[in-house]
Amino acid sequence: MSTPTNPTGASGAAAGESGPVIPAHTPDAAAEIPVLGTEQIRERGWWTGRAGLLFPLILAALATYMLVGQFMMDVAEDVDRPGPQFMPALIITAMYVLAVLIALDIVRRPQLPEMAVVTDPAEVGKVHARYSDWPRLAWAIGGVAVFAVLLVPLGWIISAALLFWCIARSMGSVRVLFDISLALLFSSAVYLIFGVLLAVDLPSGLIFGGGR
Amino acid sequence: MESLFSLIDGFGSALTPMNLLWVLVGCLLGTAVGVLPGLGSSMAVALLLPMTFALDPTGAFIMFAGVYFGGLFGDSTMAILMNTPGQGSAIASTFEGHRMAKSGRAPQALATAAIGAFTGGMISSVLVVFLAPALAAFSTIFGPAEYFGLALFAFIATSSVVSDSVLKGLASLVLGLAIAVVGIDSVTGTERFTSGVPELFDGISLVTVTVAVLALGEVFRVASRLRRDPGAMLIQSSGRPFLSGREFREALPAWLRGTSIGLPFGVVPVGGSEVPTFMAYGLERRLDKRSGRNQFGKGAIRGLAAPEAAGNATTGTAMASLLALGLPVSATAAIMLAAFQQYGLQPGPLLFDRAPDLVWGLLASFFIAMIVLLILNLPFAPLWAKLLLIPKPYLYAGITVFCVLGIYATSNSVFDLWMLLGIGVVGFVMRRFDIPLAPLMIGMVLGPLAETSLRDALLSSGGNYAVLVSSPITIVLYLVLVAVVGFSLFGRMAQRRKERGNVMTDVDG
Repeated sequence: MSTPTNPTGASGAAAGESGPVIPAHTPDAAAEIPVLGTEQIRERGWWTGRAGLLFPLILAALATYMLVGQFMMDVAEDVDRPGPQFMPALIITAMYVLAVLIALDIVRRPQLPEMAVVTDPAEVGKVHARYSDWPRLAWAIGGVAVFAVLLVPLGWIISAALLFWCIARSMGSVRVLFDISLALLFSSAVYLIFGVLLAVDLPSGLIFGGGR
Repeated sequence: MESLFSLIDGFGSALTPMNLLWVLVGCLLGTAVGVLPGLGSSMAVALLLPMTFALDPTGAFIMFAGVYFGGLFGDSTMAILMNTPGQGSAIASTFEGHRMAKSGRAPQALATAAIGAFTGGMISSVLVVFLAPALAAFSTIFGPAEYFGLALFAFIATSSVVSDSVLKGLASLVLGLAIAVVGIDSVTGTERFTSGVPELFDGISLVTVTVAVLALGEVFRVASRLRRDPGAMLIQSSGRPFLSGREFREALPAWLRGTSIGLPFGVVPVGGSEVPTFMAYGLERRLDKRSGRNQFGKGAIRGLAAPEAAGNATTGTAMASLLALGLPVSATAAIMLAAFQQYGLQPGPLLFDRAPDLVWGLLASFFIAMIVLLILNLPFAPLWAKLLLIPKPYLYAGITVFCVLGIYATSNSVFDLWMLLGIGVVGFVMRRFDIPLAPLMIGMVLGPLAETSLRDALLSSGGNYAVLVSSPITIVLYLVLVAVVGFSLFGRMAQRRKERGNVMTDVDG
């Protein structure tokens, strides 16, 4: 929404264009909550506001996967036309075209996300490396990945508790012991309700001699 | 008249003690998920979808109706109390509703919303009862070319109207279509894009995609922003939700106007109920200005009543087009379509003949769900706000555990968990860069319909593309489509010109 060409929404955009840190500009200083400034993100040169190129990249990568699949597809000689490759051909073309158009759009007009308003005095003056909080995101994504790896060998109760703890941690909870106890309680409760009462097939853990 | 008797039969099958319990549980759970910040009604349905599979079809759909309407109620509850709409359709309610809450009229605002939703939902459900069979009969004259036109209509209308960038909307749609072609081709049995992975032969499950994109993607987004942007403020609401006679009389015309705006939108797939809620809000605003009351901006009761009624009226008629045409017009309806397919039922004209018990039971449960909700919401609205006392870390941790539970319980494979993670990350990227998610859901659900009907149409005509525009229905569809797209483009251009004008005056000032 907020493009750098639009002066009304430029408090965040300006920070990216004219140097690493810009004095906080408070749009509505009259508000009751003490607004101490806007979030600051480190200047990234040409890449500022162009991180969105990731999406067209994903689009193009998927289109390429499908293009390879299109050639590898084992189609019988006598299928009725239009055959199974007809729709995918349209989709692949559209994906490439849209990826290029969106990429061009982002290159032409960099798009900065809406910056948060800082209300915590401890946060004032901090310049973040990126808009997304990657360390915490890594906890969240890693938690799900670890769950997928450990579910069958360790069973539902332990792996789900681990997942619960990882997500809580990714949201900023630091009470390790309490969180782990709560996580185990929660995953056990889910196991009892769904696994035992509702007979959902939850793995009990290979290392404990349980089946899948 | 026949519809009426069928409906009474429907009440007969819906009003068993067990089914009543499911409606109640569904309403409670739906509202509970709906009131969670950032989680909307479509998320409620997505999360609870796997759990309904444990029930028989009738019980499951009755519970579904409860979850759906409960989620909508929850959305607007949070929109009013916290200014955090769970779903696009509740955004219009935040404008005046949150102002009412701020000025200490939170219980009245919640009551206005609850009664508005009830009015809109009731009137549209009554219409559905009489309209749906007619719609179903009408749709039997639909052939492949018409279905393709309808699907194309839904595609273009959603992706161009919903998002503020047509390119992004279309990209999201195409992504959905791409996910839908994975698996064994239903016409020829050809393996497509599976790379030989047996788990992909049946295609990528809609449930996995829904939970990944809507729920897990949201968890990732919150994790990525919570430290920087913790700003969520609580507003205490106390007292009884009680509307004075004067307030009731003031809101009544707005409820009715909102309902009449919302009704037609459920049949036209223009991306769920966001559009009518904004139209209803805009109309009330204009009327308010013209009458010289100038209540807007200070917590106008009408500015909340109209969009609430409009949103729920759309929901009701959207259900009609889902049941009668098999056409999901919103992400939530798309998920419900998936649920039907899970039970081997294909919504559409034949559903009324094949499973009349189920359809009429479902329609009857709409009424029951709405009454249960009114009873639940009026006295308990302040209590719902208490759910927010669960600290965010545990709230989202619990949600994530339910996500993986739902996926593992339905698929019983670890491969689907990886799929969930991969698509969840894509969902996060889409949120991060403002790419709308609804077109993806619609593309994924309607993709197979579009493909088979396009291929059938071309097959029967010997590859002649003229067949696609050969019947009056298709011509009308395409004309309306052109009109809708033209209208939205025109509106957007006018908006841009206006914004530019504002910027100029700002600079001058």
